[in-house]
Amino acid sequence: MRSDAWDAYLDALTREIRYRPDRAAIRREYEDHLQDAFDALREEGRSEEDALSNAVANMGDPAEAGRALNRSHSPLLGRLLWLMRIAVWLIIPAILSLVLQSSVMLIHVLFTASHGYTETDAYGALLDSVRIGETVSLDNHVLTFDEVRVYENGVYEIRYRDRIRLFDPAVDLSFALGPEQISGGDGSHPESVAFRRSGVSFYNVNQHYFCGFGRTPDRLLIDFDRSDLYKGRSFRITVDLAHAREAAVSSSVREVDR
Amino acid sequence: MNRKRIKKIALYLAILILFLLAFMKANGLRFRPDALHYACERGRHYGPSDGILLRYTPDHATGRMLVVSRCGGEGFSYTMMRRSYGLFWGPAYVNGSSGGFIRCDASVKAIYSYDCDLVYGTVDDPEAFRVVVSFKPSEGSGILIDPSFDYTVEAVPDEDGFFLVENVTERLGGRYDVGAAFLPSVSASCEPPGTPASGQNVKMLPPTPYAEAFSADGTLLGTSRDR
Repeated sequence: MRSDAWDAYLDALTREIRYRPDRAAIRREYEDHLQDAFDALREEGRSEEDALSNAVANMGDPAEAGRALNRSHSPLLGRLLWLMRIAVWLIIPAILSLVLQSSVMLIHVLFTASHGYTETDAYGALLDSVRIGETVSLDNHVLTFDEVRVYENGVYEIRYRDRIRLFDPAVDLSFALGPEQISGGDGSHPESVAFRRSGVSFYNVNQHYFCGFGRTPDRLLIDFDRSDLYKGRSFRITVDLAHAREAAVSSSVREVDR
Repeated sequence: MNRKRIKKIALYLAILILFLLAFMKANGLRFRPDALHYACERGRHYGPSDGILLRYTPDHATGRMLVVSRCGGEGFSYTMMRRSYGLFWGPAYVNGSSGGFIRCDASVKAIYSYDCDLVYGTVDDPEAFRVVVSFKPSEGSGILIDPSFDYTVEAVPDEDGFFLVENVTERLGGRYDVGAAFLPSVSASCEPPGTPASGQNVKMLPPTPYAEAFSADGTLLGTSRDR
């Protein structure tokens, strides 16, 4: 049911609201109130004309009601919300792309973790394998040294995992062992033969192959030292190869005894 | 209504901030060049260095910046960066590296930057009045030397001993590629500790030009090869 008085009331009410995008919704809401009031009066047995004028009169002063509504519909908040909504809608494709990228990376990490290290027979038979099982932290890297392997051709392999701590402020994300960080018991450094890395930026499985010690080393030192460049960035891991060799020999003797 | 809107704004703001942080993290971005420089140092497992000596934007690449800081008396730490999305700074990778530590422990330290075509350095002696940087090609570089040409540029150190020579190639009349002339001396004078001889971590480091520092009365105070 519409009338001029009804429209005039709604016009006067919404005119007070400064944030224009809210006017249509408020108008609809007050139109419903007027309709409810009109229906109630009609049910009481009032005439159509009487019900219309009374419904509008019962709503009170439209300007006063409009000013009250204006106070609870701040234009600043309305515009800010509108801007925020647009910004969120604009970044939704980017968020989806980030989520997709993260999912692919996560799948890659799970795949890498489940497959672990790659076996090779390029350097002859495996002679010896020594578990290290040491974890060190270096800035945003958590390095877990798992194993040293010795191959027939005099090639040594260091196996280590490199996990990057998420939400760490560091930017350049490189860590790789160089031959000068590896030495035998006599201080001689090997030559790098090959380096295999699998994984993604924040989780890598590394296999470093090297050879060329002065003599067969009794122990292997992994010595990363940048403490000369502030804040003690260094770690040292010693792997006892002689003990492992003895253990390997004695276990093979036991095998023979049996 | 206002309270409802404030709640919604807070929620959207949280989403935007989270997204911004994730985006910056994923792309290695920072709002300020200095913050990026220190973050890169941490990623390279050294630092933080002492103080920023230079923030330099080359004329030919306005979106780039070279940030150099002092690492005690041992040398310099530098990061090459670029403007990213108009709001952030991100590392600019050249040959897989965005920067590094350059060990130079002479009393006069001078480094040439290919990307910015400039020489920067420090003089330990507070009496130093001027620094003469020589770009004469090293022996065996294969570059012909014109005996009539002056291959030197001069700089005046500031009160902290820092000096800078911009547009080096232009100052030398574009005679030859300054970098190429000094390439043979790269590995000898600027090798950071822990850099492997081969493999993915090898970094192309700037060469060290020869520099001499003089006092006001012309006395030689030190050179870049005096230690």
